[in-house]
Amino acid sequence: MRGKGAAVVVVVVFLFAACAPLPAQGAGRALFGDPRTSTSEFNAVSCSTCHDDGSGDGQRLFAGHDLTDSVGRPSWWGAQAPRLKDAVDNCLVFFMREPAPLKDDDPRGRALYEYLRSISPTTTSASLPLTIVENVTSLPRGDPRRGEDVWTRACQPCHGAPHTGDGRLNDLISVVPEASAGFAEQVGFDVDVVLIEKVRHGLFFGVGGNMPPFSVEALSDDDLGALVAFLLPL
Amino acid sequence: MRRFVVVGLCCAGCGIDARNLPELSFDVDAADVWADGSTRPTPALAGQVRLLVTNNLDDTVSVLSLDRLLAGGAGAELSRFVVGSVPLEREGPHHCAVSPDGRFGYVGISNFVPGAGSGPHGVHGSGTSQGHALLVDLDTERTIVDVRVDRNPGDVRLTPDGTRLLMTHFDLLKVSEAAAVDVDRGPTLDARLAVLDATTLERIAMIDLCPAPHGVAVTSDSKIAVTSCQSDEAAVVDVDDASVVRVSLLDTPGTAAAPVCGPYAVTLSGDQSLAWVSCYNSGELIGVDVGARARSGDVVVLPGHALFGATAADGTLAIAIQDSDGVAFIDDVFALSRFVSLSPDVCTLPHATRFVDDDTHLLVVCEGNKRDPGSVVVLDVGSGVVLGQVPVGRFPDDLALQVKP
Repeated sequence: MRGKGAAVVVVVVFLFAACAPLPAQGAGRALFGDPRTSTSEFNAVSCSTCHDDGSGDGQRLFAGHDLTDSVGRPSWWGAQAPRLKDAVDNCLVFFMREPAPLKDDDPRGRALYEYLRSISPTTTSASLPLTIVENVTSLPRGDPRRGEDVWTRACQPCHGAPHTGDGRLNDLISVVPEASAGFAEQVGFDVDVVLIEKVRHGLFFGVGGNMPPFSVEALSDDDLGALVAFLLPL
Repeated sequence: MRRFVVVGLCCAGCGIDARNLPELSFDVDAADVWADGSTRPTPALAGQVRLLVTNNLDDTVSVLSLDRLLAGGAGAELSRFVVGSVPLEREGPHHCAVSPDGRFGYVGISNFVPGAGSGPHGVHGSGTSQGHALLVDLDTERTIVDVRVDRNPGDVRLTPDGTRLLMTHFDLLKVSEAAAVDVDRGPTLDARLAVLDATTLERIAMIDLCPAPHGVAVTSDSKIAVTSCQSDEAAVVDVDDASVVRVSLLDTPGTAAAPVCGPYAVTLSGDQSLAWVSCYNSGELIGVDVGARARSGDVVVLPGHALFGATAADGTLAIAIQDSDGVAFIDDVFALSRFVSLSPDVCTLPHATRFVDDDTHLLVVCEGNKRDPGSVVVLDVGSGVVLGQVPVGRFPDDLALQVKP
């Protein structure tokens, strides 16, 4: 009988916990890794696709900066986003297909903010550089084995396997390097330059799509040259 | 940790639907969310005078304190805010204006920043994209209206009554495209003057004007605008009825593709009867009789490329001069009365001027070498001595006074 009573208490407590308002910080943590944070049914990526939040194993090469201590920075996106919300909105709109910036009181934004705040113990931190390669040129090819490692750490999480796309996040994400080769043929450029442009510019500079750019801080020219050697063997 | 356990239980039990979130309990009040490390602007107080400076190569606008500038420049840059809609592409803020109540700023986005992006998908920043006109709330430094205009916006000026924003389009591409097919005159070269509602930026009129109009000046009654035209002409525009009279500036003008004068900017005389057109190529100021809509016959030869200028209450003009880098002062009898040379360590490539402080001081916007910060320099008008300077962003190209009544 006492056992039954205890069980009832546990169920009641659980139901209470389940029905009580959820702490926003925890919800924000869940949203951080959930593509459905964007309302677009075509979106397949989340904040954690491009950013470490301090919980990673250090193996991934993220396009975006580690968001630990991100809240206390004076600016974001290489000083082009003067408010943290601008930075979040940029990611949501450009990369996650959200149709418009969040309203200031949108609970998704508020929850994400509380989570970012929880991983920002340093209240004042420096802005981080974001060096965009504006004018794209060919690069010396590096070691293809190093390039394979770059692929695994930087590209595979979204694009899946090279040449087949097996394991990519959704069918809208390009199969690489075939997509680049197709475009190169259309425009009469060398495919390596098309690939480098896509990595360096992402969706910007008229390229299109939803891929984030890899800045110099995120991926060195040496790593990119190695990636070209891996994907486009001579 | 306990919070995460609760959320975890909930996620496991009922799952968080990101698109239909359950009720959340927040630690941060709604009013404080996003109150992060970024510096919040301090709105100008009544009576304060500030300056906006567009930094063409940085996609920023510098906000300067006039008092601190006049005191030598230390700490004069109060803030620098970002403009443009694509965060990683340079969009080239080009010229600015401020509403008479000091509340709003206007910035043109030229999308003309050579070298700012190329690859198989094309060359960016070449002026082939449409331009934008921005309305900025200066209290928050946020863009609140962003509208498209024609490509390559040039000058941005408010009518003095504050009701209309005039924007020229310095569309040299149109000129070069026509030249490529051996067309050097005619309407295909003409760019438009945008007349926008200053409150909403809705289009009131888009007036076919002339080849690559750049500088624009508006009479104090807000009725007449005069623009420079690359075809060695000026255009005199009736702002209300959109009628245009084009005035040839030379007896033997060049073409838009090969101008002799190279009209670049317009400065009104003290009594506003004349519009002085600055010739970038020939280094002349050529007078246009605003009332007669004809060349006045007045010409002042200056010691370098003539750019934007300002007019003091006594009729003195101060024109920024490049090549010999300095400021040319023209007196009220239309003669070059003085040339103040600016040393390269103080000012490289002066671009625009503005009288302040009852015309006792002159502010000069200096482009710099376009790799490093440009500057705003304070000249004592009486002595020609440089009293101070403040670095701003890269390639500053205009300034506007923000006066909070």
